Amino acid sequence: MGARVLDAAGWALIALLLAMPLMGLRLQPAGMGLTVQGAWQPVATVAVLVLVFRLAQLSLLPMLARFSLPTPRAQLAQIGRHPLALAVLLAAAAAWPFFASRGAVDLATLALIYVMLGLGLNIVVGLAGLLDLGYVAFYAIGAYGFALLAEHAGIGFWLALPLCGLLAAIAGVLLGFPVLRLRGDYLAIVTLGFGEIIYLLLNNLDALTGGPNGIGGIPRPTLFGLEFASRAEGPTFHEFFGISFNSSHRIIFLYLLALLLVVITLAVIRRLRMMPIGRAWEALREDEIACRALGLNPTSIKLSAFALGATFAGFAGCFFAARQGFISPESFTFHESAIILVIVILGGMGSQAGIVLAAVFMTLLPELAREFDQYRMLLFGLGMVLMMIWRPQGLLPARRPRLELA
Amino acid sequence: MTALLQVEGVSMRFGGLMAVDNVSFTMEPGEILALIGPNGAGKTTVFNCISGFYRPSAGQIHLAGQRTDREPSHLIARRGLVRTFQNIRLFDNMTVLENLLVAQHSRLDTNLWTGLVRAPGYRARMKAALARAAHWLEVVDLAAVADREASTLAYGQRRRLEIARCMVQEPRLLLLDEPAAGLNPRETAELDALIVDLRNQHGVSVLLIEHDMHLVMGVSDRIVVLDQGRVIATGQPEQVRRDPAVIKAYLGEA
Repeated sequence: MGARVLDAAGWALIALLLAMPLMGLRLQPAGMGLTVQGAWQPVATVAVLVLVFRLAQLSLLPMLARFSLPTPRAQLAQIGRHPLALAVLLAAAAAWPFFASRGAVDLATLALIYVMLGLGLNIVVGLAGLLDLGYVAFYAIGAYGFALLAEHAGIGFWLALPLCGLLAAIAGVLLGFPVLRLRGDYLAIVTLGFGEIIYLLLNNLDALTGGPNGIGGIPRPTLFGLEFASRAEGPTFHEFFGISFNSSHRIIFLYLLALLLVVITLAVIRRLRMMPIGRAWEALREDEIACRALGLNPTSIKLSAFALGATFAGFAGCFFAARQGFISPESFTFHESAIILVIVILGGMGSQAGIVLAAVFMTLLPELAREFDQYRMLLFGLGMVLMMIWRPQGLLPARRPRLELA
Repeated sequence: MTALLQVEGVSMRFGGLMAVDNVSFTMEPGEILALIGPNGAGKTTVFNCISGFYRPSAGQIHLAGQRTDREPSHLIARRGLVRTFQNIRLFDNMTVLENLLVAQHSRLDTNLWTGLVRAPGYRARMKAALARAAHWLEVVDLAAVADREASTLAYGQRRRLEIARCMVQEPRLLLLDEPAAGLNPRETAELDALIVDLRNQHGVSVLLIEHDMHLVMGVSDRIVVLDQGRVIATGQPEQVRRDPAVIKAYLGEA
């Protein structure tokens, strides 16, 4: 105890010394001139605050760390392994929008977009161990890819979807080449820069991207050519089925479409993990030198991780543009990259179920805590700190896929 | 007949330090050759040159007649030259079996599409890889822990897994960097038997760095002695043991 008080007192003393010249002197008007007066109150306040903070940090944090969250992996992770449970879960997710409110369905669609982004980034960060802080760039490339394809070439959503994935994959390889030799912090900085470059390009290439005004009038997805609008040039959904027009049809359709995309993403990545390429990503994360000694080419493996991770962001971006109908650079700031990265870390690096959970959590939380709008980032930071103390491995830590010996 | 491995006048310079100075030796197929020498003699540097982790400052290296000293390490590995590391390098967070599958990466079907749809060719190669992994797990006595993460293994098991991870690639030449370091006498005796077995049963040549003289004298066909980056003696164990230069290097001036 004594050592802690001494430590905290030391901190307070340093704070005192720092605060004195900064806050302890005040100019007072005296007649025609100014005099300098000492102001002890703010200085003392700072010192006391630092003392209390340090004491709390020293005595509370170890206590906090002693608590441990229950481990839900045993039960929750099992769900993914039972086909029946999975089918029931999926059916419930598909039926839910017909009973829920319009706003809730719309929010859920957004959550599903984040699930896709989280799963895609997980390939790069969670599996291949390459820290990518500019992932939102690929999301932007997907979204702007579709917007521009629709505007200039009149391409619809369904054709644009694979094209956007391809476009993002190419961008992933282009980013991958120059950064192949980098690792860890250095890689993070370069990818951060890449994200900013794309953002600045979108904001300033007025002729192509419309600059800060963005691009509007992006066509909505159609169901086998049926449009979700009250009136349209082509056949519309409600006319074809002979029901009255209801604007929530489109919301539900978009939700189901997002659900479909997420299910495909989950299935593809799950299989990728069992494939040689998935194992190679993880091996590369574990030990690059051992990989080289075993005949694995680190260059092509890293590039494939960048490209495939980017592909899913491209799909998500394309869907995002189609859902919004309007996109602007403001949707693709660093903040988005940070959120997606948090989803991956919160969910548990490499864990699919954890990422779904974290993405839903990260989308719902700001909505549920609307009153605390001002403090959102503060709460967010606090949450991350507590998370790192209690569960550094994430909500649902990744489990190794089981292999049957032949 | 061409030698399996031909090291000709290889030098490796790090700034002002000549770590390896004009080292030459050859290995025939099926040979077990030991590279010994005091600490800092340059043994591991020679290994790194042969396996492509360093690019030698001078000299040439041929593997089965093909020049390899300018090739990247992963291509050399695919030519059938694989190695272990002094400080074991396993994929710790992956299971034992996965470690063995990663090692067979270049022999598996890595095509994205055939893998996603699990085409018959993909499955056949996967099955063959699993069978090879199962076989080697039996050989090194790790079958019981196949599904455990590599980080949970005991030290001796980790050493054996690293050797198995090399052997699933069915290499021509196996480089072992101090395989007996940290093993107890019984484990060392087992390793001794394993190395001889690898050569006799599986036709692999072995180049090993080792400090355990009992092991070295027991298994090696020939020994190359390095001191301060130079080869000071080459020959059969009995010759080398009596070589005055070797005795001097190990014991200092008598």
